[in-house]
Amino acid sequence: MLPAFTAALSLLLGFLAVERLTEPWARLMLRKGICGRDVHKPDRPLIPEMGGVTIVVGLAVGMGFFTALNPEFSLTAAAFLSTVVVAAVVGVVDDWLRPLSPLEKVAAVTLAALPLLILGMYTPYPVLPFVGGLRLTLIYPFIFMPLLVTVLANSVNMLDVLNGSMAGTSTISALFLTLIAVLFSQWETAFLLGLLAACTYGFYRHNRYPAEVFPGDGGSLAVGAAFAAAAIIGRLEVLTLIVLLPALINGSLILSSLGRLVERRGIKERPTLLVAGPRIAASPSRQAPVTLTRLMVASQPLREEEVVRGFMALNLLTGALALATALFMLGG
Amino acid sequence: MLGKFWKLYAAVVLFWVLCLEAAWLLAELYMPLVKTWTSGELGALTSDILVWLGVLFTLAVILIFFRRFFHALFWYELSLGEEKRGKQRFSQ
Repeated sequence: MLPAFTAALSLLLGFLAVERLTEPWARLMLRKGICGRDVHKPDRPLIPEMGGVTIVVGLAVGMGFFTALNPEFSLTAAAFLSTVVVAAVVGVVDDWLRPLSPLEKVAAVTLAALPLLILGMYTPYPVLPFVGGLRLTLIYPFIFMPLLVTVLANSVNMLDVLNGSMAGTSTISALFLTLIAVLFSQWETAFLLGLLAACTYGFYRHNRYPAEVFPGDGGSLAVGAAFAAAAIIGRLEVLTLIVLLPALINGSLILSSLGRLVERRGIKERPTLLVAGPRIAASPSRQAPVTLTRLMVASQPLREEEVVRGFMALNLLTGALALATALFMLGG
Repeated sequence: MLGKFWKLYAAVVLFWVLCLEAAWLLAELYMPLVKTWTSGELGALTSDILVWLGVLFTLAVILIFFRRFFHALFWYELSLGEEKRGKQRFSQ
């Protein structure tokens, strides 16, 4: 078991780093003009983007402190953090330097699986409930791992549509997965996920309604890649997919309704409209993509906070389902 | 909150139940069959490939079904909303 006190202190340090750094970082982004419009407010205010970079900093601070006191953890920490940093760099390039095409982004994010592959931080036998471990000696590292990283990173990114939706749901998901990792006695993975929960919660305090800062692709891709890295390291692939079902459903709805990969800025018809209240309503257009938000407001317009609470309740449900699956697996 | 989105939450639970049920069927019915079919030197490899294909096929069927299901749910909810707005306009 990992030294519990240093682990708890590292989580606290990670949380404090994100909580304290986000505001000055947001001011810097505002000065640099790296901002986006909050389209779900009547006056469409300018909000600083790329704030999610502080989540990566928080992860680095927490992990750096823990690794300094527990050097045997350094390989896991290096693999996890490198994966997160590669995904964050792709996001920052997209946010700031040059907008990437959807295919470029998907391809670039698959590179985030490289550190896990090079450092050998995987077991090529993903465990399925009832079925047990599948032997995927070659398919796992060269097909499954890059696919998992890019699918989770992009799905979490696509869920970043409302104030606090990505950070809030990610905190809940990470907490459930921490508990699951503890149940499986995967202490290192439990620490990674606990730290992720602490950092995303620190960010959520600035990103919740009304948002002071947006995570940007740099933050949301990094968080998605962090989930994938933890799932691969801790052999929690299936359980992670269950916890992140809301993000996966949203991603598959968008993909299947548009019939191709597309960037947010490339969508011509918005899936939702802002109506009096202010409330979010579903666009009646057949050309607009079907999204989870559009599905939630399809029968009645809702306030932004209500939709985000709906997202979080859905994540609590999928977390509970993953927990039940974990108990089945332990019982079987 | 559960009241507003209960259909969506019920769909997600149904998806989970179906996935677990499919995994149980694979483990209890399909895998023993595969083990009896495959024997000899190449048995282990053939068995792995057949199990892997079985899992992929089952997952693909469930995903295709649920993709349609969620789209149908969306258009149903949208038509419900239209109906509600129509009634409101009529009563005004």
